[in-house]
Amino acid sequence: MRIFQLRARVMRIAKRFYGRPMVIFGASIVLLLVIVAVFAPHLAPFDPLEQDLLNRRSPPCLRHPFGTDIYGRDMLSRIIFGSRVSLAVGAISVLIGFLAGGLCGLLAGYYGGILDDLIMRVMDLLLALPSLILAMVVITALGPSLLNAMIAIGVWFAPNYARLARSSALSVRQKEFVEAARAIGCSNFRIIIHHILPNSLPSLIVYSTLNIGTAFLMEATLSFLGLGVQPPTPSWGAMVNEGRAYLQMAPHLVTIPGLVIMLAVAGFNTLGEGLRDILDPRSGFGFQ
Amino acid sequence: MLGLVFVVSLMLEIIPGDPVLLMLSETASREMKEAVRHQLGLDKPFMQRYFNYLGKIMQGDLGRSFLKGQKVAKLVGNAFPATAELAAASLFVMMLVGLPIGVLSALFPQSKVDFFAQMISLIGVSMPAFWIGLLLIYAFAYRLGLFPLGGRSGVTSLILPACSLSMSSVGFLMRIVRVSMLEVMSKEFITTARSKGLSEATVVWKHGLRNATIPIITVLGLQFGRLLGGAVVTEVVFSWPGMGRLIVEGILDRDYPLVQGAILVFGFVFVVINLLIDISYSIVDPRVRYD
Repeated sequence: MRIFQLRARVMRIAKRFYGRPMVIFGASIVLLLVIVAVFAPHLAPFDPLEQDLLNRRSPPCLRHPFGTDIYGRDMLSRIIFGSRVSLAVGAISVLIGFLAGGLCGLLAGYYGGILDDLIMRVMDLLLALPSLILAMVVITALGPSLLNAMIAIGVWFAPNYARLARSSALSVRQKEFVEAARAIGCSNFRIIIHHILPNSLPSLIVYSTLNIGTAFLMEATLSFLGLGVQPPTPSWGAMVNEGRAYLQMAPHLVTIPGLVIMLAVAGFNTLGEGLRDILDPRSGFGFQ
Repeated sequence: MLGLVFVVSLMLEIIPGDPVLLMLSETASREMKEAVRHQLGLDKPFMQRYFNYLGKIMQGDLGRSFLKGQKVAKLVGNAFPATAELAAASLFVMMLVGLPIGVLSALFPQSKVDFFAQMISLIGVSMPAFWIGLLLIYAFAYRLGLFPLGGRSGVTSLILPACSLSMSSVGFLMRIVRVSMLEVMSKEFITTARSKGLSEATVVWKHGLRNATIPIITVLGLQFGRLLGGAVVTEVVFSWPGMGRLIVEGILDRDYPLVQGAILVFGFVFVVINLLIDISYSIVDPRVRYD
């Protein structure tokens, strides 16, 4: 019976996807990106770290469709492997923000009082700092690396998740089913995990899809400033930074990776917005 | 503001690396390092330094930069006008482009204009700021030679950084204008205005836009704050001598007073902007005063 219900729900959601070209466009880009990242070693025509110093900054040609970079490395292969970095940063930084901010928000909203004030004031402080500067301070404290870039971006996401989870928890904690759970003797932990969290999840998940695109941009920006992924690991932002000095002679070093970043971010943004419309709990298509 | 100073001080405290080692050469004696550390007050406990700093702020003293040797207030004072100029110019570009396209897209929903506006909005928010900057430099400075490559030297040097910085905000403003206008244009007073025989331009710009202003002002204010903070990358790409570059240099050099002072000024500006937004509500919508 449950399988039929699930199937009916999936069909209803699929119907909503149908007729929305932008959402399909976003979903296709995201799917393509995931496939490219997973099968990168099979899809890349060259080793992304293999240098060919006699063939530096070569413009796009049949052998190198995206050209070669300042060390003669194949740009297409670096972009294919760079998708792994971007997806990893997008997924893990959003997860860090989701877990840290979401948990703080749920606790603040459920317990209220001093705990609420304390948590939310700290979150307000983090929000008061310009995003990039906060991320830079965190990275400088921890040292520039891929993992630390993920932590920095996650820390920046956390306050927004906290706000979202708190507002959701505030509205749910007054509901009858929470009262009922309390009346039958459920612990606070159980109520938060089994009753409050499932009701906050749809909005948090949709917000996460929108954030992945932002995480891509943030990672690219940090790598551009030399604070993210360190060479020679391929990263789209770092590729733009490397090509920056040769903008006049070899514009493809800047234009191609930038275009890829833009497409990837646009894909996640359109998919996220489409999901937000489709999975809006008020429209009856939520996870509940 | 006090909390902001505390958080920034704490973050800078845990940053590894000793500013004294950056200031002195490797061969400096231990006594010399200790003397410099004492002179800068770095030998005191964190909380004592924090309260000392708060005391100085009350007297308008933001401290002295470790590496540049100049007063932080002076450095920030020199850099802030450049960033404010850039943010204000970006805000102007944002309004110039975002407002009319947003209104048009609301007046003709589901039309080609609306689709075009949505595309601009999507591209704007999806483009990395540093990439837009580099593309603009390539097209308008290298290829066409219309604008300088970077630096701050008159109005011409402001155009490219302002366009680059405003790109993502334009899309955001368009969306807010569209949504607000769509809501307002379906109200009864718009029908009344039309039935009185007013021209469509008067109905849209005087009756419609005026009533859709509050969310737009909120967004403009928030975006101005965001533009101030987001100017970091644009300033690096265009070698713009503003606050963003100052903070980046400060963080990389572990110049604590410089970073603390600059972020404090940012925080203060955010608070002032929010206050101005609240005041402006009552000016554009007199009903707010009685609420």
